[in-house]
Amino acid sequence: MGNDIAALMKIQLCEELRLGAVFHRQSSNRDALTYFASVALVAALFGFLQYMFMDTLAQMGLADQIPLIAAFISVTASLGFSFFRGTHAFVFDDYDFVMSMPVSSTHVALSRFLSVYLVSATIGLYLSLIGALAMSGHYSMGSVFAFVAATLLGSLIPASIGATLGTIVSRAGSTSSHKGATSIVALVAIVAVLAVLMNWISGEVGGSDMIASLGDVVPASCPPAAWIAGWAAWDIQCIILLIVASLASATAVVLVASRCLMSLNSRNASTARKASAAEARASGRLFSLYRRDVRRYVSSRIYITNTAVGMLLLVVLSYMIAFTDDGLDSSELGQLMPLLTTSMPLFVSFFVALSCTTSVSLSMEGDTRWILGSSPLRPWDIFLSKILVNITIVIPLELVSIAMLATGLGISGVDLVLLVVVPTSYALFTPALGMVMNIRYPRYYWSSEYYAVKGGSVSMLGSMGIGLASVIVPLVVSGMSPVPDLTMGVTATIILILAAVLYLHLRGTRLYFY
Amino acid sequence: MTMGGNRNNESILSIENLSKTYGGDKKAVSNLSLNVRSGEIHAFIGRNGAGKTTTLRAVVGLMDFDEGEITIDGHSIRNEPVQCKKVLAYIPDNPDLYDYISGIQYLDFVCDIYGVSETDRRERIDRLSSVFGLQDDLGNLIGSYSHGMKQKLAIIGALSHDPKLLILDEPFVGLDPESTHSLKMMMREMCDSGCAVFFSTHVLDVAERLCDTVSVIKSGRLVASGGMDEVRGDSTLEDAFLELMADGQ
Repeated sequence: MGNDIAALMKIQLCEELRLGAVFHRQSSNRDALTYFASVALVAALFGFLQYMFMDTLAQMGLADQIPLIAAFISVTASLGFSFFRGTHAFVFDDYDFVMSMPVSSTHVALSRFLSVYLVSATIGLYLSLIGALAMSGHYSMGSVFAFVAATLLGSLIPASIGATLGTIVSRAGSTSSHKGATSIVALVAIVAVLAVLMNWISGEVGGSDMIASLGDVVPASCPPAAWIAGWAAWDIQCIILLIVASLASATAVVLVASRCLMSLNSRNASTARKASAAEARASGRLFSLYRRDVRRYVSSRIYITNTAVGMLLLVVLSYMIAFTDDGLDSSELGQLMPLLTTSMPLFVSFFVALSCTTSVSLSMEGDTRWILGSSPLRPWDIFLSKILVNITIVIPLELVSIAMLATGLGISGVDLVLLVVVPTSYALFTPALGMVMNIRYPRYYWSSEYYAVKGGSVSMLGSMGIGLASVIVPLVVSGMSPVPDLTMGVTATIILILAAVLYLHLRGTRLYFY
Repeated sequence: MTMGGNRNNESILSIENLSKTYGGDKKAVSNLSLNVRSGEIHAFIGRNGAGKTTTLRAVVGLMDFDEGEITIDGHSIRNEPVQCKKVLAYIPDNPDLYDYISGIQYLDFVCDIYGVSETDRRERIDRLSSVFGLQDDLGNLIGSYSHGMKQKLAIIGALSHDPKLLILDEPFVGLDPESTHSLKMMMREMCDSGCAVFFSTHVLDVAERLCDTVSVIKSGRLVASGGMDEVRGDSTLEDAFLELMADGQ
């Protein structure tokens, strides 16, 4: 029994963590070094930030909150990673191949759950070690070891929840031709429900002083974190609850998944439909191209999550800044208003600059690029269609965010004009920049969309880096400027000029796909 | 099929001294010249890696080339690519299509790009989907199609806009016998009406029976070109090909 579960897990993790590609490509040494260096850098950054936060709590006299907060961070991070891993835990492309082998569905379900748990436990362990480091100056070594051990066991809970939610989202998307958009809508719905729940809990339990009420809010909103912290304090009730909840949730998920594996991975026959030539409809060339690009976009979950999450985050943050009254009271807000209104155009522009669909839009053509390449289309037609998709996503969400910010913060007059003009100039600049970068650094050869999006990192990171620099520099300058409004106006003008230069360059660009 | 435009025996495709080098030193095609006339089915044969696909991609405008000139219906592919592509249709070997749309949506997309009217596209899609047996699958996502179905859909898409020049890379690989026969008949009908077909293949007996003219490429160079009888002489095309490959080995 152990052999086939281990073998199945090995294949899944090699695929998920791209270890096969890293170790078996021709440039494997360099790729492995790059891969692990990137992971180590990100881990070190997050670890440092967490440790600084824990240390700050200790300096504020809240050392007794450290285990609880560390556990909360660990559980939440594990939940996030488990969710993304969980989207192909029990709904997976090679189902036919795996189930054709002499393995039981229970073993398959168990191996796939353990793969999710391994991710959850690794994240949880790493973050708990950071928390343990922060605790070591204030707690006994016994409590510290108990904390780490409890986190390892408790990681079964976020793994169970993440795998379940990920499977729901993945299954919801798999029956639709717009699987990317369907999955994202399902994800946003889940996040919205959780956010409302958290907001309600913090309102009921917490009160106005967020830091002081952490000890009440966290246990109410994240019981596993409270149980882990309780284990570190040798609270018997917490120990029993953690053991029971961890083992019960994991067992339930594996048992249900093993029974449902076939139905989860069966194609929904109702998606097949008859169509005849009589349904053929003529449309304009550019509209037809644009419609195809939109369909491409909404079909891919990874394309959406890597390019539109910034705008969704902007909408959420705009709502929180404008309409929630936690944290800042009116006198503090009054002092900050000039700074807020001055920096708001660039705050919105920051998220616009992060949201670039064009930087991998050519790469996403992949093996189908012969269709566009052999069609009587000017390169400019192809570029414009992809740029319009980017603008379609960014501008409506930008305007919704601006409306909320203007209403909630009472922004009007010149400030309101700048709040509209500056981000819109970035909304025109960013897709043009992304298009230029992707023409220069395309990645057409890929077997999975993951490689097209992530592997096109030169194009994506290049355009994102330039885009963010173009926001941060004016932000610093306007902060030092005696006339910040004028600085904003000059910024918008420069960005629009740069955008015009890029569009002119694109109009004259030849495009060869091979 | 409705035919129009210039359909006399003039050269529809003219390749002159085409050369293409990869990575600075690998010469994929060297000084290649050939013509394809209206009304001709022209086979392009050679070993794997001889330069067939490179030539076809250069002709279609998918790839730039280092030297030479390619004209299609009197227009230069380099200087007037849109005019050239309006009159040609291309299908690569293993044609990947858009998995995220249905068959009918793909055909609508192709017809929109080529400006096919609604009346014409409905008539052609109806007829061609019946010929190739795809009429019951047009509503399904292309992602659910088998390899052969994708190939058939690509063929329907290529023929739906009534091209003057059909360029195919290994068109018969993966097609069932019935569809292979239908495609051959369709190619013959098109050329009898004044169009031209230029295709690469490894299936020499099909080329011998179907084609009017043939060109043989070896290591990027044209080693034979002309009428079928002229190239094969008194032997079969297969024997003539093997002899050409053996020469100077």
